[in-house]
Amino acid sequence: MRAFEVGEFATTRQVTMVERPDPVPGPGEVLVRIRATGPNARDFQIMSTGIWAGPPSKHLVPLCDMAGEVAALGKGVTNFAEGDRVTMTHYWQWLDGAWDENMKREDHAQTLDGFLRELAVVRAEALIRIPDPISFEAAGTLPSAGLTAWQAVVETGRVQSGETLVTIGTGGVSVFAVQWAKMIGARVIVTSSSDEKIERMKAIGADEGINYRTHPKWYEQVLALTRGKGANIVINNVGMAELDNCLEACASGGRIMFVGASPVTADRQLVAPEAPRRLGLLIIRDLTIKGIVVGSRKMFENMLNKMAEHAIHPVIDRTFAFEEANEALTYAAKGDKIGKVVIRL
Amino acid sequence: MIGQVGAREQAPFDLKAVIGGSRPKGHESMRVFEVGDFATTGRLRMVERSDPAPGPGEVLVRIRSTGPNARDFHIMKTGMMGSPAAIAAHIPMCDLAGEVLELGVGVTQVALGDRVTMPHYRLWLDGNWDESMKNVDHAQTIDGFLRELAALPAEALIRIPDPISLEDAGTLPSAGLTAWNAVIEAGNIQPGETLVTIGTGGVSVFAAQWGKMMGARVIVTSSSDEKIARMKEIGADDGINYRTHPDWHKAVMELTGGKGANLVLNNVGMAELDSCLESCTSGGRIMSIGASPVNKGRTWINASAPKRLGLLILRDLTLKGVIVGSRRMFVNMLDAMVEHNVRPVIDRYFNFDNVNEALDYAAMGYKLGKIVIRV
Repeated sequence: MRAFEVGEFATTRQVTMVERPDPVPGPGEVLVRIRATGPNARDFQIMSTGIWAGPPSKHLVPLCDMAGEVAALGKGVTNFAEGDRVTMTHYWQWLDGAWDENMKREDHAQTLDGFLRELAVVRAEALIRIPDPISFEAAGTLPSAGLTAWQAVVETGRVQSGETLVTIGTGGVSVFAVQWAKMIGARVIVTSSSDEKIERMKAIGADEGINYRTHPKWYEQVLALTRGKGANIVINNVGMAELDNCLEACASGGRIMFVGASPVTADRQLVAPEAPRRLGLLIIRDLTIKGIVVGSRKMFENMLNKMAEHAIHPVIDRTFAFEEANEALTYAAKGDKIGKVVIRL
Repeated sequence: MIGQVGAREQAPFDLKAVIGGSRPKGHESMRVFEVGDFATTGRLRMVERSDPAPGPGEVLVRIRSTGPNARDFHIMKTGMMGSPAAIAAHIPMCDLAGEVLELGVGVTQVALGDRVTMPHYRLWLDGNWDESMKNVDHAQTIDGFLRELAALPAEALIRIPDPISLEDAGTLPSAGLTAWNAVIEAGNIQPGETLVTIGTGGVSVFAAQWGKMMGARVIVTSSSDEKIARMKEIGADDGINYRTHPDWHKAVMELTGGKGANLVLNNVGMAELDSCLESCTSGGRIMSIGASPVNKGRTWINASAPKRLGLLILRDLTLKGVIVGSRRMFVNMLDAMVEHNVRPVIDRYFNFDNVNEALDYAAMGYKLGKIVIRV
């Protein structure tokens, strides 16, 4: 089969195509023919510098998103049939219940190969059937950004109809967060460095937009837009540099969902980490900061069911062929996109 | 003045004589302490003020017990949210327990002679906190309770159950309720979980009691082996000396077989945030009770950025602010204290006239448990 490896991506910004023997499913495993994948901010971080597991092997297959069809069954697998359309989470061991940090050790596109390849052998218990109305391309955008936003907004964030949700920037998680929040009936305020992107986010469903380049203290705008009350839930996907602004933007009892921990600003520039000054607001406003580690298989199923029920389609900016993987990565890294970049196989 | 005061001092503690009749004739002024120039002298000043009269919906409370909290020192020294100048004329101390002496028009919630207490953010009765409630805060934005009498809204008052003494109840409104919210209401501790407290201040002592009441394992930290031994007498299962183990989170990991703690009470602020994060197990909760950049010895240090916030994500952690507690939570706490026969740990009692000695003693930091000032 053909696969891409990280190779010299850290310096060349190119992944390397290689030929590998077709994998064979062992007992309890399933061979999946990958039909869609695509890059996430997390994938670039892993390929460029590595995240918690350190710099990746040059032979690692990148990209943690996937949708595909069952091509062969290993011994003992009875709950799937050839041709079933499937997807899965990249921390595949988190099936249901509470997260355990040990589950991080089995992480597709970090400690295990990702899905920028034609075939993959994965555990049957990790797979999730894709409901009929959802295409491979749509399903392939969900495992990282879609599920992270789902957990942050719905499962853990528990946004309520009439509440106000704020997203920082217009990355993959933010776009999905807008969709999930509007599905539930929340008011959504997006922030961006670009008025044009704000308009595109409004077309997706956002109620208001704040340009954080013209309003660096964007929380003041959040307070103005909410008559001084503040936001009930803030999705912080850019890390510590914006923590003070997130705290300031919250109403009493507000929740800050911590999706990214790098010291980057709203436009993802790396900054020297400074001590947050407004942590006292945690107390005086009764706030909660909650870490979000993607989501479980069960949460993924909940998300797929709701998408089918509410006929929600992921926002796809552009689709590339497998052979154009490097063009897809270059395009995604430029940052002009809104929504996901899909690589179709 | 002396005669009047003397008469009141000799009143029996249940004050039945006073309550049965009217207030002693000729009593038109009460003794109070004001913050004054405490920030520079470390001394409160006693003054006389007119006796307060309860308005409609209010109750006149004869205060019988109060005492200092870390928070009170913080307010007296810095003004906290207010200005130091504004604080000077305020009566300090946010804890109280007392007896109902007079009812204002329309009061039905309490009766004469009822033994009562209340939270210092008195507008938070039930349900969700709202930040605007901070604007009415006894001992900060309005007078506290280091005085003989106070007119208070009846709706905020809570009846003290019979088995709980006025001295015991007077230790609860700040440290007791904060620990209750952090461990039980917001912290949601479960039997068999591990709770870690930092230091041995008022909140930590109560937290150890609430943690044990719920069947949790309690690990305390302190700079003193002697205090650790005393915390164990109160019920703590294990102690870590953070002076000999500055990376105390490693000791938490060892004590829990590498698993970590489910609930960490951070009552010292940001400087310990990284260690709190490191000591958590997956799904752990950190209750943030103090936000000043002080380390565990309560020394002010330069705030440096926490480096381990990534653990929030990798371990699925929660960092939650705790703002004392509501009247409803206070009622829950009192009910549980009666049911489980839990008594506050009291280090020492002082009389109203010896307030400054009480403050000196509290500030020395040798105490373990609360200091009660009998009024």
